[in-house]
Amino acid sequence: MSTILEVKGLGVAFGGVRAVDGVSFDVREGSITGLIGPNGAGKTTVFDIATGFTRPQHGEVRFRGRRIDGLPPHVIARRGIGRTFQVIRLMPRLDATNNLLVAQRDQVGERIAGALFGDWRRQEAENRRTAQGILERVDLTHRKDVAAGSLSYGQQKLIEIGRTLSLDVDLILLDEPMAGVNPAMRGQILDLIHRLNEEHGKTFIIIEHDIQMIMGHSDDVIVLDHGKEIAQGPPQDIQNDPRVIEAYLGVGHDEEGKP
Amino acid sequence: MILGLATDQLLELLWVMGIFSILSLSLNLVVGQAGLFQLGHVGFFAIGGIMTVYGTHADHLGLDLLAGILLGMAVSALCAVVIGLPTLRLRGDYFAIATLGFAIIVRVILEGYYIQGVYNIPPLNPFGHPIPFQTTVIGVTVGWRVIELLFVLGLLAVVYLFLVRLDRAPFGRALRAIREDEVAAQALGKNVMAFKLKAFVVSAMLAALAGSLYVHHLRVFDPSAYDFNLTILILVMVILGGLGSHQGAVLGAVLVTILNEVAKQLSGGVGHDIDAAALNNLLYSGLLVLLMVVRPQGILGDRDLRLMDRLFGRFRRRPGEDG
Repeated sequence: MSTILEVKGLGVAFGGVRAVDGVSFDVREGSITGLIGPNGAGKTTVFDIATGFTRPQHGEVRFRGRRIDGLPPHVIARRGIGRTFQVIRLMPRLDATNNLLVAQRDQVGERIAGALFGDWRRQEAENRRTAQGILERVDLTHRKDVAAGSLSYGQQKLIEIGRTLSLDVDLILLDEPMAGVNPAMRGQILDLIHRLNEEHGKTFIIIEHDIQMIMGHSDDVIVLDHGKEIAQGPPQDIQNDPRVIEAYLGVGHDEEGKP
Repeated sequence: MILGLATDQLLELLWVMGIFSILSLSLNLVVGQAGLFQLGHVGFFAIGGIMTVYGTHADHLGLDLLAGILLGMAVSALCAVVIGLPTLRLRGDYFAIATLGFAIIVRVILEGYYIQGVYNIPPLNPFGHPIPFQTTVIGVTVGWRVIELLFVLGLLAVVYLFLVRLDRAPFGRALRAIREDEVAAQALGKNVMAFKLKAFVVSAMLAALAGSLYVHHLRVFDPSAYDFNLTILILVMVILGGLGSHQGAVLGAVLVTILNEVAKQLSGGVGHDIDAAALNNLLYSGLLVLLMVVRPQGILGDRDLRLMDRLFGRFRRRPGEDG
């Protein structure tokens, strides 16, 4: 399988803190890749760099072979990388359908001339059908006219994932999709991820603290600690990697702080 | 005679409502729909005024009325691009302060050049042929003022329909999406800066249009009129009617104009015990406090009543609106 995302020697510091410090990894196209690590390991920062919200000071990011680091977020999104956020970011006062519609590409009616004189209604009708399809896929058709802010937490997470489908991207970065979601909804989200992966060939990178979930559902796992990637490979290798165990459980230290 | 107002006064009142409506509609695009807290709108209103004066005044270029208005709008658009490019990147409060600074700079520059004011500005005469202004025949005076009023109201209708059409199209939805969550909008491939700049420039051009109409009607340009109070006044109109609602913007302009007139009538005119300006401020602040307590989203909230749809039994929701 070919590489869809290639990260090489990535580094960024905020003030004196090296949030990401020489991270390199490859993500295979069509895979579900878990990105794990203790709090503050730099996982979200890697996402922010890959989607253009943070500019890296070192290293490069390639998407399908083309460099994307330093490009503005909207350009990267149009190239084909979608994401969700650790704290849900929907348009709370727009309804579920419009949250999906707004993500559609190349809308004639988004240009002033197009809005005034263009025939955007035909495209809009088509986009509505697409949105309808996405709502069916995430099983939220019955909530289509509800303001996104009034949806349940889990439903909001589903709409956020649905929005990346509306944007029609190949690589989807999910930042803690399971956090704070009830078990039934977790199952629904996992199901959705697998279906999108298998049936539509979407590649996922998932940040998650639930190690069991990551080990059970990803093809590859990347482990970050203190801004560095410390391990990378199939889940069964990662589980037994001493560096990973050390990062998560720590090792015994004596009083001088030496291992 | 209505409420003790002569026909002339009534026409004048309607005329002011028309101008203020265009002004508040244009501010609503930026503040209500795009969610940018703009405090410099009066600057564009002033630029529209002075540029049309410069364009049409016999001492300067001496162009047609229409050319003067278009010149005002063009210069205003240019200023909006120059101001917008650096300031639209700022967040909320900083943007408000930066635009406020812009309006003050405009006023100070204009006061520097035209401290005495500009007089003998060509009248608001869309047809170009001479009209007897100084006539004492009441019928003729009234007749012309009605035409002037219709001209302004016609433009108001065009501006209203233009903005509603923009809002109901995906353009309006994208603006609202950016207002709701800028970061999310970027992650969805929206060029947030471009959308903001477009809204800012269109809004500035419409403010300049209102500014042109204003000076051609008054036929006097007084730079000191474009002060912070006027900024607040326009903002009150938009907030009163409901941020994001076009009908609300017009309603706000109408209410504020009536309130002004009431204050004027109550104070009994110049030389009386009560100061009209002070009474005005008291009324506005009282009204805003009442609004914040009773109905913080403004009279109409952030949407328009769909009167036409209701009348004809159609039910069509605009993009970007929840159920």
